[in-house]
Amino acid sequence: MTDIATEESLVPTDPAGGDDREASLWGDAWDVLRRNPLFWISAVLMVLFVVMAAVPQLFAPNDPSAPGACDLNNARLGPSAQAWFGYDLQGCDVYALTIWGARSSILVGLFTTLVTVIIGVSLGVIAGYAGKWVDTLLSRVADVFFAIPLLLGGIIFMYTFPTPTNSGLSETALYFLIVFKVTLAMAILGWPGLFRLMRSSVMQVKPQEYIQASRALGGSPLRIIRRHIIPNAFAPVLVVATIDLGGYIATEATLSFLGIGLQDPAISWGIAISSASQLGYIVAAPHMLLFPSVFLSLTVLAFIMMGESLRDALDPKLR
Amino acid sequence: MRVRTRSIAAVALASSVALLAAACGGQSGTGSTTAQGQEGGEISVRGCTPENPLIPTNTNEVCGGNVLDAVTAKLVHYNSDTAKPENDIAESIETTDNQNFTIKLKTGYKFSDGTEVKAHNFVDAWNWGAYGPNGQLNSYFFEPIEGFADTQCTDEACKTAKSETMSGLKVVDDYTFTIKTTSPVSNLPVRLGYTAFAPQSDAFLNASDKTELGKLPIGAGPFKVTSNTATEIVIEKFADYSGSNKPHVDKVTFKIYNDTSAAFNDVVANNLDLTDVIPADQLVGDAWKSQLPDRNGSRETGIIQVMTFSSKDTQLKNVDLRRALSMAIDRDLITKQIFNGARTPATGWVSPVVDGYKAGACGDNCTFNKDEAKKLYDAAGGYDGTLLLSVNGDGGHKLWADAVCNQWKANLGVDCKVNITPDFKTLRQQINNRELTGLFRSGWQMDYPSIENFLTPIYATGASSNDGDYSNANFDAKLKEAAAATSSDEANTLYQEAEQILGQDMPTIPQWYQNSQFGYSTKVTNVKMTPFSTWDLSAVQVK
Amino acid sequence: MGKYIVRRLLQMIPVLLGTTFIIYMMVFVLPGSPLDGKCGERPCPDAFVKKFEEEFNLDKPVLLRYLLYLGNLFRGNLGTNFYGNSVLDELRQRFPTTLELALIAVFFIIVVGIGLGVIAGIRKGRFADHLITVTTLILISMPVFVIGGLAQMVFGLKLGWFPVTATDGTFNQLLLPGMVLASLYIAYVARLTRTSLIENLRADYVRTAKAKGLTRGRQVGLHALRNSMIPVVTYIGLSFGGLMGGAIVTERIFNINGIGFFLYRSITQRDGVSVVGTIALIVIVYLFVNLLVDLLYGVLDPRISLD
Repeated sequence: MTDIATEESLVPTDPAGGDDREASLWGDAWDVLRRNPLFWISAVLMVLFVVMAAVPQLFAPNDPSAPGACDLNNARLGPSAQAWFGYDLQGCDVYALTIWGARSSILVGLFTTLVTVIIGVSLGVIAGYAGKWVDTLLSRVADVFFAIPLLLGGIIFMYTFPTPTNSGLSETALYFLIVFKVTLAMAILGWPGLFRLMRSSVMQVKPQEYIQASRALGGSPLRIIRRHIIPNAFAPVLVVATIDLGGYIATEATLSFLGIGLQDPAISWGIAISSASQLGYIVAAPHMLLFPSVFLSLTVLAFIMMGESLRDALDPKLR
Repeated sequence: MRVRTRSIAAVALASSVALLAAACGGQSGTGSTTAQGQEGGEISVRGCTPENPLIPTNTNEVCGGNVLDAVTAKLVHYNSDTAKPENDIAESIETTDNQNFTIKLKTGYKFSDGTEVKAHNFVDAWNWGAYGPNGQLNSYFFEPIEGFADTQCTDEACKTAKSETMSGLKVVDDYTFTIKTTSPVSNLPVRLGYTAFAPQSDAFLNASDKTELGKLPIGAGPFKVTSNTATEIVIEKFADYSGSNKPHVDKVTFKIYNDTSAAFNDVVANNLDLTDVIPADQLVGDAWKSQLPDRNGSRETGIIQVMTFSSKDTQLKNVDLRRALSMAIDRDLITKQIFNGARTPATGWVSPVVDGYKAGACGDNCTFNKDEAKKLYDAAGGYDGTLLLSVNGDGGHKLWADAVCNQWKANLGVDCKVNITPDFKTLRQQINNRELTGLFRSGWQMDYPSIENFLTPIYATGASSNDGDYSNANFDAKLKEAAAATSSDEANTLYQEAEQILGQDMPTIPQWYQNSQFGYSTKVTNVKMTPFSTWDLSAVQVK
Repeated sequence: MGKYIVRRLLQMIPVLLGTTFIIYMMVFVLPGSPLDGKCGERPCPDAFVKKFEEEFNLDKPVLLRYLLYLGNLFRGNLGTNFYGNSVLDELRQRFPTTLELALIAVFFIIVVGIGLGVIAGIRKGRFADHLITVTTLILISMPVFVIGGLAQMVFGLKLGWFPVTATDGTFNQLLLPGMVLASLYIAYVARLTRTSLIENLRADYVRTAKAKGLTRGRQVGLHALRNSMIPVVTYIGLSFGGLMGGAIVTERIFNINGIGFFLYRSITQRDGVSVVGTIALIVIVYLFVNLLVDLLYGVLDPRISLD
């Protein structure tokens, strides 16, 4: 990595900048962020959800999976002073379910999004930047993975790697293991979308003058990718990934309903939404669907706003 | 047993308890009977894709069975109100010892290809269905007939058998044949109304390639199949039908639906005339009735749901523990809140729609009693570890399983978990391989309306559907005694005594009897569902 | 260009071989055999099991079965499924419906998605932008069966604007399901378009165009939008692939006889031949769409070279 200053001064319009500007870049970004109300709203929401996921007792003292927590006599009753969000089909308190469901939903949504972004972006950059046979190979592999239905791939993944029973693992370790498995099952089938998106952005950025200039100056590919390509090509991935987050939270329910997702007593927003989603239930007891959906929406909204404000703050083109 | 189509749980799986949903205990299967219908006209009926060729000895599920019921006639016909067998093609079925039966046929019955139904059409069809190398799904229905064993395969590849015919079947003349069973079977005449016992035409029996006839079968019933595609199956009135179940409508189209909600909505919109399944969510607050005012009905049918104790689980061998688990379930509350009153709490192991039913075989064990349950549970030493309740994820069973598990947790303090398998096949594999511990779901839909059909195939030692490996010599002896009884009353009493033994041993936990809800368009009248939860297509009329 | 296309078409062969092999094996290792539960709570008679296994080659080792399948495939025979129907016939009946449904959906995705995205992009931070964000969120947090079920109830049953179900698969019947299917993707495409457009509106060449005195409409239309289209086109290509096999829920709600439900049912039946045939078809469609998308890159941005 030679002579940064020279390179910098010669490169035409690159946006993202070099090491010497890194500190000020973040400093500038923070200045922009601080003045952005979107950032603060999303930050508060995120902190709230993280606390909810970590210590649900704080918001709802009663664990909805405890024996006797659900009384079938209350099934589908609407919101009341006793239960602000009403009761679900089993007579469980929807408020408690929603609060306690945050943990699984946020973990699964966040992890899956992270894993798909990591796989999708790195392979996408390689394919887009290297082109030729590397691109061909990676693209065709992605095509195959894209075509495997979740129903097939999910069941096989979960059955190939069964969760050990009686392994002496603690409840908590087992829980995280299952969350991890669910995450991987969805991520393995979910990355090709981000891969193609990243690949296309890289292909669009690669011929730009500043990249050509860096290359001409002998910048190592790794450096060019990190410094120039990714910052300029990341926006579409960010958009899709933040929306995907919501999708994964909902998809988790699909796996759980097949018995290959979270283990009983499985509590998550996706499960709450799915089990309340039939037309007859929507008409008779809309609260069962409404509240978990609102929480899911707010989570996605928080990530979308955060993504947006970060991008506004860091966007090379704004400098 | 006729396999119900497992309700198809979509990927997103909000799916229905629907297929096996049930009603407010109404005995009558009739919807409206007031309006005067006309003769002729066309109707459309919810159908599903047949899983097998439409051959009576090879269809064991409702999708193909519904079509075959309309196009075949058997020796006996089950009354669509009472399920009682009545002679159809048979003029008489006589026996003195319940082992040798003489069957006389009515003359004039015709197959839809114009040939007459004669004694050899029965004997040859049954022999063909039993013959091992033909690999028919329903071959076990012929098992009681003498010589059945000789028709089974002798080689590994299943190409040959000792005999192509069963020695117990003899044609006397064109309209008479005799059946000899290996041991006495007191309810044989009742069984003869099952689809597998339908006669086959000479055209079918002589055909070397039966594929085409599996699509457009030839039967002696009130209808004949005129078209069979992936999206619909059309049957039309058979002009030369000479039986007593003459239909009023000229044409019935089974429209294939992938989802019961879609069919329900089409009936609401009058795009479809009959649907035999109401989605579970529409039962809430009787939403389905308000959407189908004066065009809905429900009917008790011969289906029971039970939970079977895994034979592998040694802790569950304790009868007091079994009783405690059964007593800790509030069946009334679950049927009310989960099924919206559309199922009836079970008091025994036999459906109320059949001949020989007697309430209360399960006694106190099936009556909700929290305190007694807890006492028994503690006295039995409780259950160590996690108690698994396994159900398949594609049938909408999670709802009641969660409710049962919650009640066990709350009432007994047992650590209960619902174990869901992705689909029915996976559950069956794990049951067949005896891999599961705890309890698992079992359902039973009757083949023929007899108390025997709810006991022998499931609880006799080594019986084909004895998933819990139940074995009790006294019980087996009672069944044998009942089968040899000379009168049906005597047989029923003995079968009831056998059921009482189940009440002591609790091989399974009876849950509820299933009813079926149905809806129809404003176009039709006289809609009637049978105790088999199939349509009586001969009764329905266009307004 | 011609050479490039030929090469891409040739690549389909190894991809198809790989896919069919992987899928065949996957169906094979699924828990539960085709015969489990076939006879309900009863085990099937031995004789039936033997005949069934022989008919569908289930008695042979799985590799041999795959090779037999492949041999038939090259002769244009996609096999017979467990229901006794030819897979080729099933696909021939079902594929046109699914394709039509997907095309209708893609039409809505393009028109509504890009349209909304452009409005939101130009009016960033204004009411229209926020409204579109909220709509997007609602679409994301409601499963397809909620949107589909409600649409069917309101527009089909209550208002009668559309047919309730699409059993025959006519264009008229497929309109509403097409819109439902498009709804989620519209959310994605609108947001993608919006973001890309905002980025490009900030770029130098737009400032240049502005300086040159071009009208705002032309700036947006000619320059920024065209350059914003690459991620959007990529995503629409992806959605088309997803629509092929992923329309299971919509097909169920509206009773559409397409390949989505067929695929689902075949998986639950462990019907390897049907699953492989269907997925192979989906892969082919997907490869073609991706080829088209890649070719479009060159049109949208001439600097991108494909070789």
